[in-house]
Amino acid sequence: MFANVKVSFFLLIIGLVFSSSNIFAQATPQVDNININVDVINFVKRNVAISTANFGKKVKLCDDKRDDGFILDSEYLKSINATRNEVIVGLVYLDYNNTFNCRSEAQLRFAYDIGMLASIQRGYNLDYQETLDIASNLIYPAVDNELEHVANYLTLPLKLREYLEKTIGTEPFNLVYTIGQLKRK
Amino acid sequence: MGSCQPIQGLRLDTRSRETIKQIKQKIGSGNSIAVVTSIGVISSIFTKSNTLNAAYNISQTDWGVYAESLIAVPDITKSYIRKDMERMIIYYQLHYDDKLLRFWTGLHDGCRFI
Repeated sequence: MFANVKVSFFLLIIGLVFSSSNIFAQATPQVDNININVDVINFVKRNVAISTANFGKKVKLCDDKRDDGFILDSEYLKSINATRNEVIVGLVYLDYNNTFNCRSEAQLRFAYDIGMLASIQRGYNLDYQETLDIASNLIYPAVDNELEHVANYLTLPLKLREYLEKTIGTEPFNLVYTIGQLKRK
Repeated sequence: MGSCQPIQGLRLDTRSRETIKQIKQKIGSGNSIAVVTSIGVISSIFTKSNTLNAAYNISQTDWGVYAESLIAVPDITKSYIRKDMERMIIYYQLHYDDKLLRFWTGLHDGCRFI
């Protein structure tokens, strides 16, 4: 973590050098005849800082809960003819759902503040692509097989869904460990 | 299975290479958010003191927000990178590939192969 803080601090210094004119400016800069209100940008960035701090705390809290995994009842799964792939689809969905529910309040606020910053930057004709990249990389899931599994959850047999929901519950859990305990045929 | 075993002749497929690219992007976005949050707090400290040559008022809250946001960024980035690794582990569990499964499991569990 220390290394990350050092990198962050280094980037902060570079960022400050490049943005020092904004920090100390009392005059209102103009871009394409749009008055940029530095106080507005600073206010929004400060909100991003606050929501980042809260989101980070929540992420850590929820990740710490993911230490606990499950060993599922292979006999029961066999009795309801659940395939290994179906069980994995169900576990991926519950991991996605439980993790989101654990973080949701802080995550939604973080998403709102990042979206607000991008909107303000766009309104002032400033570059906002980097801010959108933050949203894409650190808020929303990648488009891949995980989301496909999540979308397929409701197609699973009811008995399997009921068993998984009852066994796993609503808290974040160790997905990799739980899947690792499933038997291959 | 021990997760720190040597892996001979590992070849990364397209999906793995794409995920490594996404992980690099997440590290970049983590750095971006660190800059945004730091500048946001520090800028607001300086701009809220309006009078020329005025003494700056840095409250306990300013320090708290600054420190907490800086500490939070690595936790957020790490969590999303871990999620990418989990996606790969699940993928190679489903489409069985022993070497790539061991590679991603090793990364997820904290092994370094380089």
